[in-house]
Amino acid sequence: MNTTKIFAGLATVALSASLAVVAAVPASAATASCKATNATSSLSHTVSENPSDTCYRVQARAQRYYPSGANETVYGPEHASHSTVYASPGVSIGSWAGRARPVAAPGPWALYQSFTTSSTTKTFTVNF
Amino acid sequence: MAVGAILCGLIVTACSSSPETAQSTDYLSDEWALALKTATSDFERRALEDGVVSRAEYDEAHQLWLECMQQEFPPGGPVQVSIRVREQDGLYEYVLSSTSTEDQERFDLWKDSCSIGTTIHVAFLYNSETSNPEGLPFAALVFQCLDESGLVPEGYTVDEFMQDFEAYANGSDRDVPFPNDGRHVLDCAATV
Repeated sequence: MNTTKIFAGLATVALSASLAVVAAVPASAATASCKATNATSSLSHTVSENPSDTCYRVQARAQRYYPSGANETVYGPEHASHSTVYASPGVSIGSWAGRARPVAAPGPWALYQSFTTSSTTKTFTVNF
Repeated sequence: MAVGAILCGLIVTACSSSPETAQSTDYLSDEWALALKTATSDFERRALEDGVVSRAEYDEAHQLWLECMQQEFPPGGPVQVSIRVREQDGLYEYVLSSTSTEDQERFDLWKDSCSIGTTIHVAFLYNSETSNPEGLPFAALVFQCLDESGLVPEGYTVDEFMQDFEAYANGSDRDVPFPNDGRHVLDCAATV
């Protein structure tokens, strides 16, 4: 009887431990895909999040060039649905990129992925 | 929603509409709840406790963020970080005085770290709620802009536009009942 109880107790502990591992592994290895779209004009570059997927924060980044030859990297504000970076007359935007973050807060950001004029969508994959 | 509703209920006057503040709305209710739960600094707790992010709190968050960043990118150093208020929407953009990949990666690492306790909740809530208080999808915001300019036909719905916009954004050449030369849509996209 006692032996049975001990085994039952051990089995419960083992099962609990297994469940804990099972619960922990997918969480640490889980990924989320965030599909974003870009809209580009000569003076603005916008990355927007597809509202049907599981991501909600986006941020745009661009390299901005001045007639003087100076250049800099500019980061747009984080929004729930979109983020825009701007140039101005005479000031141009070179390569630009976007990143997104999953709803599962506080999920990490995806790495920035570049947009080009020929690519209108990007799927950001986030590991969390 | 519950947190925001409770706070607005307790502080009715603080929740009146104002373009100078951001306040709890349904679509960001989870974000408000998370922010209140995970605030890590006295500044954040103070900024969030009344359910409203004021412009002054938005400004202060960025100053604190910049002070943190300047520990890694000191003023007068070879690579500098600054913040600027944008003409287009009055929001802050971050500027790194370099375009090298190495500096961008270092910036990203510090940017996210320095945002904890400063901008991570305050700036996001202010940005989202002042520019998109109803939490509309991006395509719906563009539709509103086109509609206000009289560029969509009567009876054309936002749902129809969102489907057409997605096809448009993905490079489809199908016929759409709004100006398809790119300029008008992009102009609207830049303003929302």
